[in-house]
Amino acid sequence: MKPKKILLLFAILIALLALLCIFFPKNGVTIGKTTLRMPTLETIMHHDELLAKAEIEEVMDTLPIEEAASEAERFIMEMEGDSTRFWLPDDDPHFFQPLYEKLSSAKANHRFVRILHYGDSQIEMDRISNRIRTRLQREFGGGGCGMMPIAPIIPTMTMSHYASGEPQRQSPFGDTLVVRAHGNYGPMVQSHRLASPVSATYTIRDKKEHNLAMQRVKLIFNNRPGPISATLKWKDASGSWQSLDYSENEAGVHAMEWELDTAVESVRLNVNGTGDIYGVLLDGTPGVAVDNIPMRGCSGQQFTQINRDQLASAYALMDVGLIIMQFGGNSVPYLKYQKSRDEYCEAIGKQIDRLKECCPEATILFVGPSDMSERYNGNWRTYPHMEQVIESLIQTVNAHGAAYWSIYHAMGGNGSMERWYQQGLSGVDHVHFSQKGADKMGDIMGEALLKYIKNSKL
Amino acid sequence: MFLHYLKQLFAFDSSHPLLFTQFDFWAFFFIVFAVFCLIVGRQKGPFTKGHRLLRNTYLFLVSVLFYYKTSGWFVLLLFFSTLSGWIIGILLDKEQSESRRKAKIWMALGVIINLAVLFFFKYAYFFTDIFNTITNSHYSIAIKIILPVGISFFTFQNISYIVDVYKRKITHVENVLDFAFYTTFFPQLVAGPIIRADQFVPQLYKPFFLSRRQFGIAVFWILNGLLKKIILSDYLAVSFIDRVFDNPLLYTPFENCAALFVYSLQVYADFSGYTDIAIGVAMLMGFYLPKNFNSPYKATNPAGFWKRWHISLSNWLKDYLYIPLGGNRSASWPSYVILGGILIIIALMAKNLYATLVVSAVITLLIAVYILFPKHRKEFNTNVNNMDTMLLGGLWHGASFNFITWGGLNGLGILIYKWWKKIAPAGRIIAVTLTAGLTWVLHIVMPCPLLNMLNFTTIVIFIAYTLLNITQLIVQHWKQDFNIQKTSASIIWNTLLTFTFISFTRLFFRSGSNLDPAEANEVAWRTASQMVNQIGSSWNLQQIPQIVSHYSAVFILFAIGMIIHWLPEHFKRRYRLWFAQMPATFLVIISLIAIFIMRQFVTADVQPFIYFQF
Repeated sequence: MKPKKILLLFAILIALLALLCIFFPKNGVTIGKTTLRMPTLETIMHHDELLAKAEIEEVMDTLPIEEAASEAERFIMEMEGDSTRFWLPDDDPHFFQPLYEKLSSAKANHRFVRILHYGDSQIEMDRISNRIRTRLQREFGGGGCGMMPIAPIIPTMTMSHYASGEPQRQSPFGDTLVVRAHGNYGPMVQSHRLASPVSATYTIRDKKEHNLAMQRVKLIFNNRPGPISATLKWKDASGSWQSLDYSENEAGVHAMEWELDTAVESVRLNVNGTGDIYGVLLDGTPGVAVDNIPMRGCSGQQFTQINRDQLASAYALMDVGLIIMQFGGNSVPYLKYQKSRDEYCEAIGKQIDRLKECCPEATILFVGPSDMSERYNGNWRTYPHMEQVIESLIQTVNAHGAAYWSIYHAMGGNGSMERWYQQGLSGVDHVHFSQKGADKMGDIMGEALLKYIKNSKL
Repeated sequence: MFLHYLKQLFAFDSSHPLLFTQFDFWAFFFIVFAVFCLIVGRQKGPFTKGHRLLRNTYLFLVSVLFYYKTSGWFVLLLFFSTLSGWIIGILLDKEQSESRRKAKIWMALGVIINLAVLFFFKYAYFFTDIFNTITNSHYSIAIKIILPVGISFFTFQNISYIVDVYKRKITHVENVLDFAFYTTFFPQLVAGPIIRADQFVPQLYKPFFLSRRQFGIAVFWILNGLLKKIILSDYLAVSFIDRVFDNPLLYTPFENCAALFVYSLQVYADFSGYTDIAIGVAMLMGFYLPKNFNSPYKATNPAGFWKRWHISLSNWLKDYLYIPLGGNRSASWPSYVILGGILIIIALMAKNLYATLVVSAVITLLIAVYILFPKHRKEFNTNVNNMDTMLLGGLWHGASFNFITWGGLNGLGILIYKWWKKIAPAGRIIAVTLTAGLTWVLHIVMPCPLLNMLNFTTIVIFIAYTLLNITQLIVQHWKQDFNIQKTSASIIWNTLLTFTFISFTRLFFRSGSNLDPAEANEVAWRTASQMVNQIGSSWNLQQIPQIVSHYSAVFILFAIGMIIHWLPEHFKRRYRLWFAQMPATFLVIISLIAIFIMRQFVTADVQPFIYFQF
């Protein structure tokens, strides 16, 4: 076959394709649920311009700084144009003051001030929380890796965790295997009912990271009538096993606490009796403790499903300084219309109110969704209603007396998820961060939080 | 707009390499082919040296441009590799007649140069990581090393040329431009197949010829490759596989397991799709590239799989690694050094008492077998050479321990199969029963996801094997010459078992793919262990129908892909020929329809997430 003929056929094919591209409707042809699409010639030939459009312009503008009454006010004004700013209720520059007081005095007062980091799948495996923990513990002291369930649910990168005895998991979220327990869930929004003796072993993964070592262990549980006993085993400095028993007969929410002479890398907790285990606090030295509490697939509306009194009793045993609620990502795809946004925000408002009611001393921070993309005509684009969702959330959260921090803005705003993906910072789904991305976001969030806490003092 | 586009098309832009699946490549190829027509069309009369040089030089320059578009100034590395290979080929060939020893030195130098290039660009981070882990040091590489595209292919191609000249299988290529064309021919430059000098060099001296039927076949391979790549590979990857491998813990055990099987099809569609397009494009210019895949998932055992998968690499490894190590005749000192070295490095890196004990036990066992069974030494050596080949073959695919593990598991599969073939039926029954019993006891004593997986797999094998043997015994009662191994049931079982085995070894392959070399080891192991953790956890069977229904497009495509894959070869050949002989107008129309369909998959919405919480 002559090459000229091949070239001619090739040319005919390209010409036909060009005609198809020119005459095919730009918005595609919808047949049933499927839309057939063809690119325009401009799309094919101008990809550099498309790329330029997708590039995110980082907001670097800063607002003029007026004369401010205090350093805190001045700081808030300075931060207004910053992508890592917080939206505070009534723009109160001293919003984090109570938290600052607690954190700065924790070490001296031998307190373990807790930061509960609730979130959706973005924080699973202790992602983001671990970076905030490191940052804050470096500043205010403290150690350990926070609260863990008695039986492993999902592995974490910080702690290796095994348990025997198979206690029954109870939670208001999860698949059909998870038992609903009429509000008896506790501060981890899930609990484990004892049916037989349980033995849980916790070992820190990174032994070089001495700050993770455990020196205080606290078991939070809701006892049903009848005895419940627990034994903690650990190896002391000389390498010999030590153990200490506690028992409780009274029903209700209680805690058992073990203070060890030295920090240890591994402990084993044996629990026997009847009751629901809410969590095990694995802390180091006094200071700040950060708990990672992932709630996969949730949009942050489960707190009102927890028994109010039980939750309040549990929080009272934990010395909570800050509650972080990092949600919204699972709802964004469905919040296209104002009505649905209003409904979601109303629900979030109720959750904040409930948490404030159960833990009045705690400061509440809502961390909004990251930038999220959907595929449109072969390209990834930010959900068109993304900014409206965030705007509604900011108003609601502030109106209910909580602060708002925006991952979306911290990432770079519209279209930033695609850019993060190109840099290996997010997954192919354009929703979840990669490990590297989560670390980066954890650092940004931790740094911003610390800056605001420190600048909030009177 | 058009001129601007042309300018863009030929300028280097790291974010827009020339990919077969994008319009840019076909626009590029159209222009290249138009000039090629002018060059070839002018050739009247006998095919002279001038004609040959003009065509080959043109294609060489086009290939360089193609590589520049893909890799920028790494094109200089390609020049260096090509030039050094050509010079060494000449020097080596000249020494052949005078001194075999000197020729050997030149050959060794050529191999070392290519391996050094490969090691520097591909394995620098890997070895630094090993060194740091073993010595608890924190050395880092001062410069950022970027892996040049196709380096594994063109260095291997050069090595094969140098060794073949040394072995006098071929004589050196006289003209540097001819040689440069051989090493850089653009359709195969980026992802193979690895073309051997003895297969390709003779084509350099032949005039252009393409029959009408060959033209049709070329179009078939191109469309076949594009459909495989865009529909099967890219769609399945984006809609399902990549997201599971990104975050295995977000997905149920069933989704993790399904991702492994779907990945098996996807990686085949991706790689073989690319090769199909390369074969078709080369054929349009009158060049023939070797077949690289032969329906690998039809294999009934791991050894058979490797005769059907990435054939050009398997052959390369056989000829330039396995046989030089001693093949199935003997072993050389490098045979033991490679195996022992890898085992010791694994033990040192694991920094775990159990790992050290296991590796020490394996090494002791190997030494004991070698000393105590001198009659089986030949077989022992063959197995060592086999294992070395698979381990290094694994490492060729990527610089992380996941790839070595993947290669090792495949090697182990081949060794077990070879051993299985030799033992009597009664021995097989005992072996299967003992293995199933052992894994059952282990998973009771030390419950963990890995042992749960192993226990389930061995129990299934035990049940299937028992059923096959019972059938054999019953039918044999009436029909004495009955052999269950030759029945369809047995072939289907063996095929499925091999496919499952290969899919599970891919757990390590995929986890180590597409990673930043600087952190490949860590990320790859984490992903692999998370997947094992999920697959070996308890399954909620009630979720499976929901998941399948949610990802229906993915599972339907997977089923269609596997059915087409398993179609008999003679049937495939028939429809290939039927397609090739269609009138040219039909070929254009079919191509148009195929492109339209492919475009729909490119723009299709991605499956939204569903959350089946742990």
